[in-house]
Amino acid sequence: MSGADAAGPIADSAIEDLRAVRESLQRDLLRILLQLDTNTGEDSLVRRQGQTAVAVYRQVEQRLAALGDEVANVAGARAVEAVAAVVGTPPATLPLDVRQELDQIVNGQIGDVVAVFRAANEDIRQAVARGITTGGSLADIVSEVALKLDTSVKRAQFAVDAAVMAAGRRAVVSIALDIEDGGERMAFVYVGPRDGKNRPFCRQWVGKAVVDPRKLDNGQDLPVEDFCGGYNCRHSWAPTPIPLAIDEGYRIYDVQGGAPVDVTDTFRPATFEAQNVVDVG
Amino acid sequence: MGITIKKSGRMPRFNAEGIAREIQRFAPGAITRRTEQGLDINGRPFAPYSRRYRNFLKRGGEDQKIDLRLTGGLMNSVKARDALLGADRVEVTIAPDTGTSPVWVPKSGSRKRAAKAAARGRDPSTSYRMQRTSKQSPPHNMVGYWLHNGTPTMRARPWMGLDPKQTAYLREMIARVMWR
Repeated sequence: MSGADAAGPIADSAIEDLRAVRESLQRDLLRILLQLDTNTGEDSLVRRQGQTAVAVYRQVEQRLAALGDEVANVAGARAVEAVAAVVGTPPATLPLDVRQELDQIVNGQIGDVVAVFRAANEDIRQAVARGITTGGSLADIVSEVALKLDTSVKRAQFAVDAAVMAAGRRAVVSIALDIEDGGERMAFVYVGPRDGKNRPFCRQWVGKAVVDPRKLDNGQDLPVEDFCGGYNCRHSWAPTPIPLAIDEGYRIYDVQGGAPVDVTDTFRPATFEAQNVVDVG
Repeated sequence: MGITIKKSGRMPRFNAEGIAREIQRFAPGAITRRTEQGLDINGRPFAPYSRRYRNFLKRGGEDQKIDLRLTGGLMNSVKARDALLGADRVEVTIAPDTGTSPVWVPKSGSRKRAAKAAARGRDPSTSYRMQRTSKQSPPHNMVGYWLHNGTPTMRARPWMGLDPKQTAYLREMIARVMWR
């Protein structure tokens, strides 16, 4: 029986979390470095990402070590052996009391992802915003959020996934709504899959365009410009100049008095004939 | 005979910020919209998905159109990542990020549920589901690179860029704000 087995299913999952994070980061790092090899001297942005990845990897190594220490402090010296499973040394069988303590620790960290996200919405937003503005790696943000919320890296990863998707949509929508003198007004085409899993909101809007997604309501108490149909939504907003959207056959809607109204025709340029109609009746 | 040039008023200035803004406003949406329509950067339809991948999508109850989208993470990550503004030049980097998306796989038992639904006269396709695993995808920029250039086992589907019609439209947008 391996030490991981002996630590009980929940301790198993904690160890699995740590191992998965370590492996995925190693893999990510290797892939980034591999791309650097293929694109030598070509793209400064990619080079910067590579440098960031190395720095982040070191931080994550430290974070994993800290997690190991944390478990050891609470659960006793034998728990160190369970953590050692992460770095490849099989731990010895754990006594029942240590196993229970480990279970308690991990149980304390298990919470609904949505609840974690809501409780720490602002913290996550700040971490994500900081990461985006400084060009930091998202893996870095995950570590930061995990540390800040005192939750598992896996939970933090879920929360950050949702926050990053939201931040990505927000960035695209915000700049498209910000019109300078002479700038083109945009409609927002709702793009993504059409299948049996679409939420009612997505089913209603996919393939259509709106003048301002902030006016819509997805019925989930979440900003539509950030989350589209809700958490884990597969759809996104594609800002498109209004004449181009009409040219490509999209209908454009606005919300007036709480109900969607088709306003496509109000954006069509007046035709020569229409401008020169003479009522001879 | 000489020429006299008289300057009065304010000379127009190259509006680097305005140009960068228009590129950022237009390009991400243009890329995701055209990709959703199943068209590559030359305006041609993408290479079809392999039978294996189509089957994977079907078993997960996913839309099988060729839009390079599963979780939406890659397409949502496409945005302006960098902008260099000079006295007479503008360079804006539009790209996916280095983040990752969770890996989803078809949920086991979907076939059985679909068969039951079909037996009851309901649409079996709605019985297929995906489930999230604890794994994360490779970084979005890597996935995007592979999709764009192809791999030894996957055909290239060039998606990262504007097609000729979109490029012409962006030129017009830029021309309207180029001087101020």
